Amino acid sequence: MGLTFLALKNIFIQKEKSLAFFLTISISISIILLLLFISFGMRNNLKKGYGEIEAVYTLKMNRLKLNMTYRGVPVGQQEVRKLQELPFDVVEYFKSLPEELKLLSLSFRNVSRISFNGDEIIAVGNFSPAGIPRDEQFFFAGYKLKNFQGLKGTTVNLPGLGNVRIENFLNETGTEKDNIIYYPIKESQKFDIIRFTSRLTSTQDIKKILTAKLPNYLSLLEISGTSKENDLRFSFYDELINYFAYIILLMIIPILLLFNVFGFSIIRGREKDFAILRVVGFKKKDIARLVFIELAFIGITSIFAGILFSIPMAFLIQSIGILPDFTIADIEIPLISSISFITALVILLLSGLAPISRASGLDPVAAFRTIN
Amino acid sequence: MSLIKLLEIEKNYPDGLGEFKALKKVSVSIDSGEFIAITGPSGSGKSTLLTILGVLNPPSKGQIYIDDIDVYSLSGDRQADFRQTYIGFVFQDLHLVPYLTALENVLLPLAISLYPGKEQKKMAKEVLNRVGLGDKYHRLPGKLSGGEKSRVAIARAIVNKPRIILADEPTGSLDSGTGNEIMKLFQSLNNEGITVILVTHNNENKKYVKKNFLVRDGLIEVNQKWV
Repeated sequence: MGLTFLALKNIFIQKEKSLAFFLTISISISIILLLLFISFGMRNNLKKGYGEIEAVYTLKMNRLKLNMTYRGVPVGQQEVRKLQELPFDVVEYFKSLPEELKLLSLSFRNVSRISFNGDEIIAVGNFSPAGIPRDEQFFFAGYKLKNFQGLKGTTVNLPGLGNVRIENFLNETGTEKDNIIYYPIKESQKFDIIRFTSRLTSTQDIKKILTAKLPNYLSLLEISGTSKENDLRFSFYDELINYFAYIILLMIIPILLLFNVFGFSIIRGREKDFAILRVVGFKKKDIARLVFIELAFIGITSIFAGILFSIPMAFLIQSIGILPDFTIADIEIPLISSISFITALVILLLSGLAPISRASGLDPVAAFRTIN
Repeated sequence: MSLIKLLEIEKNYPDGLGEFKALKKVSVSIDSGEFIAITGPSGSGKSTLLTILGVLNPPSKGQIYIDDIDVYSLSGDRQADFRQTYIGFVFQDLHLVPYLTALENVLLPLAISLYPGKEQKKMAKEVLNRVGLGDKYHRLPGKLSGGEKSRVAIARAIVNKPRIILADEPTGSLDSGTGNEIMKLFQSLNNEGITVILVTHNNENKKYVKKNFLVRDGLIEVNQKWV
């Protein structure tokens, strides 16, 4: 007869306690694991499903300061205050983006116009890279040059700029066409707001796409999601998942207590047995081993049972369809189960320390005296 | 040659704010093969003496040598080993484990031994046969008579072939006839060379014992004959 036999016999003899221990722990483990499965399942599903959710984003782009010259003479800086002033077509830009990004609206502020010596300078224009060094292709301000009519498409030598191709003629009303030239600048400030929708998963992904296609004289300042219903829906599930996480965390404490309570319950009333064992030569560590085997046997089997029970339950929940956003397919059941098993085992060991130490530390003489 | 030597043993128990002296500077020697009855009035320190002899209850002062080993200077584990090797206990209430069969109860001291399972069973069966329970290996204590339970307890005490048997009122709860049978069993074990020390109130046991320790007020009076 070895300790294992003795431990198993003790478990069998205390079958009510053992069964209560087994059922409580296995059901608790099962509930925790089920919550974990649901939590992970819904999260994964939401991640996938989020591609179908149209969220509205607000994009802020850099507003730039332009260095301006008038007939070759620097006249200072002017802030560009609207996207239209840039050689940049937002509509076309969004058309070039993946269909997940759809332009909703543009909102501009403070159209800027300056008059100087009879000629009107507007900070408007198309991009004309010819003759501009690559590293200076940041942004270009424009002249409205009345005398340059008819030069569209030609390259002219401008003071300070060298050969510049006259690309387009714009004015603020759109009725007149004026010659525009551009001048590189390197400073930037806040720019205008673009609203667009996205079916992409995250702002990081959106940012990547936007910056990849963005001309190098523009940069993204900020993207923020402001969607309504879908955001709320996501937020609700996110809250729910957090709530599950809280439940799981909170349940670790009762599980710890349960293990502890059951640990003590299986040694309670056995003071005489332990005293006998001590008298016949059992060392403290032999008693500790005996109680450990008992606790470990019930604990491990109940943890196993809890894990095994939770898996079909998860499938059942999926098949019944109580939780529409819950799919079990992408949950890494073996990984979650293994981590849960190890965690529960650690809790079991920790909570078993006190009853094991209590049983092995009993003074046999005192135990007999108490009993007698 | 002395098997057991008690040198100025004192045992004090806390009693309110003071101390109760259960044993007061007790010094005795016990030779190998003796059959000793410890007698005395209730609360005189008999059981205390027995537990001290059993390496279960360290004295407050003094030393005990068993086979020239200062037993209470040993570590807890070594004391347990010592008990397993040298001492067999029989309690008044027997303290059999109720859910273990007679055989399993006798196997208990062997559960932590290095003997293989088959050898353990052979040894346990041998001692059960020795105490006359060869046909009741698989009976639970609840299905045994008082005398049979005592025999199981004795079998459990001797299964490790100890040199000393300590028994606390082994016939206390038995009728006279069964008590005598048990005492005869102790006597036969003593005849095989085992030192038997028992606490008893039963005058009928006089005829079996060779020496009497009368414990009174924490002191021991050694009588070559129990009178």
